[in-house]
Amino acid sequence: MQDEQELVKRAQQYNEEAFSELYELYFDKIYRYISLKIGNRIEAEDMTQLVFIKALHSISSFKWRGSPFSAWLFRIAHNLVVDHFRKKTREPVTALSDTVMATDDNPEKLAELKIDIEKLAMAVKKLTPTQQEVIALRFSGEFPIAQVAEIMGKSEGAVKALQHSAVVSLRKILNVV
Amino acid sequence: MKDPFEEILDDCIERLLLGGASIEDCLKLYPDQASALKPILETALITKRTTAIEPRPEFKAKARYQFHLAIQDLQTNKGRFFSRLRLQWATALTAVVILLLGSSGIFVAANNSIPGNPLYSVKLAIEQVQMNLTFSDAGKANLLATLADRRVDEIIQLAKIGATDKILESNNTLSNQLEMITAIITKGDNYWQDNVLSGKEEQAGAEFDDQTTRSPDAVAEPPLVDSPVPPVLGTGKIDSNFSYEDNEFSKVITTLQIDLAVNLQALEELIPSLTESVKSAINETMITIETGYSIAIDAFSE
Repeated sequence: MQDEQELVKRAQQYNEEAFSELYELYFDKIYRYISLKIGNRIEAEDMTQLVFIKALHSISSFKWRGSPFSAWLFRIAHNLVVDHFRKKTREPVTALSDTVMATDDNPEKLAELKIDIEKLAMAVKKLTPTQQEVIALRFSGEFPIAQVAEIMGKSEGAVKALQHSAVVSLRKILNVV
Repeated sequence: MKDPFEEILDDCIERLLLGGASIEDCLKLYPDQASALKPILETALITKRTTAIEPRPEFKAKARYQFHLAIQDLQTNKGRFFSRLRLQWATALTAVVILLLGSSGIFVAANNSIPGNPLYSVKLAIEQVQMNLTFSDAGKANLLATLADRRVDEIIQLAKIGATDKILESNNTLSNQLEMITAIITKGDNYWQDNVLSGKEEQAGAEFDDQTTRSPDAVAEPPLVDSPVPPVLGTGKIDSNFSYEDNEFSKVITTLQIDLAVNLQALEELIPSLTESVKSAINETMITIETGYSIAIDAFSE
């Protein structure tokens, strides 16, 4: 946390290296978070870029109030996702599973993974908004429960309960899908 | 009160997610809960596996490059208010206008005025000077984007004092200016020069005058965002042949994309504190913002 605080301080002075470090630190997590929430690759890519551009232009207004920098960054991402769904002018055109890269795995495994991703994306959409948020932050963002609680403005106990209900619901939905 | 099972489940998920443990490892730790834990942890593991989506390397590289350009541009423009004026003689002429006003106090007061204030016409005059002395289409679009953003700021101020009529007037001007940006973008690089500078100035000028004389704008200030970020954000369309140097409109698009998100958020936050009549006017403004900005942004990618 101390290191990150120093990093953010330097970024607020327009230090390119500090900006870059924060960017590398959170880019993948922000992308995964947005991807899972909106289920569309192109939109997720655009929105991920927008999160960082927006952060760049407003980082001077960021103040440490006990919450980590990531909470602020994910708040920006969250607001953009909310805005996206409010607009809802475009329907998904590029499936999330298209992001799966060809690896050394055999084609069957790759196909299975793509199906799993699509199933999960559909299942997540059936969760409540707060359950979705927990899944996105905990599994895509890989945040510890305490940080998820800070980002969501809830107690750790409440987030654990949401996590429990979300995974149970996912199991039920996935068994049906 | 803590639920023991939720505590155990969270501990296991933490181990699965960050510690690299297997389901069997977790079940051994909590044998009494094994039967209840197992199905949930299996789902958690599937979720973990399928959410580990990596961004495409080419997208990541491109995004990184664009971000660095944006940083560099921000560094260049940091703290350079007046140096942002691209045409030096525009600065000079604006300064003359300020002198004619009699004192800088009036200038500052005009800058802070909102529709309904006696100094508001002074703002419009200065804005007119700035607009007339910006010759490139991209420059005009950029300036209009800045003015549109300021209009939203003024609408927020008007909402706080309950000036519904003025909000609606400002909303019209905002809508007109966003339409002008779209018009400039869609009509090509030389639209403004063709119409204003080559003998058609009466027609084009009248169009612009109509907007500005009714507009509650702040003192004409250079565009706030100059970062050369390409027109890929929020459009869903990435042009792989895009040239950063050649296309000044990319700056405008970035500005519009950021303003769209920020302005909507600002108005949303304002709504709970408003009376019904003001709320209705603000809702109308939000529709203008959603449609006006989106159309201008989309116009660029078409």
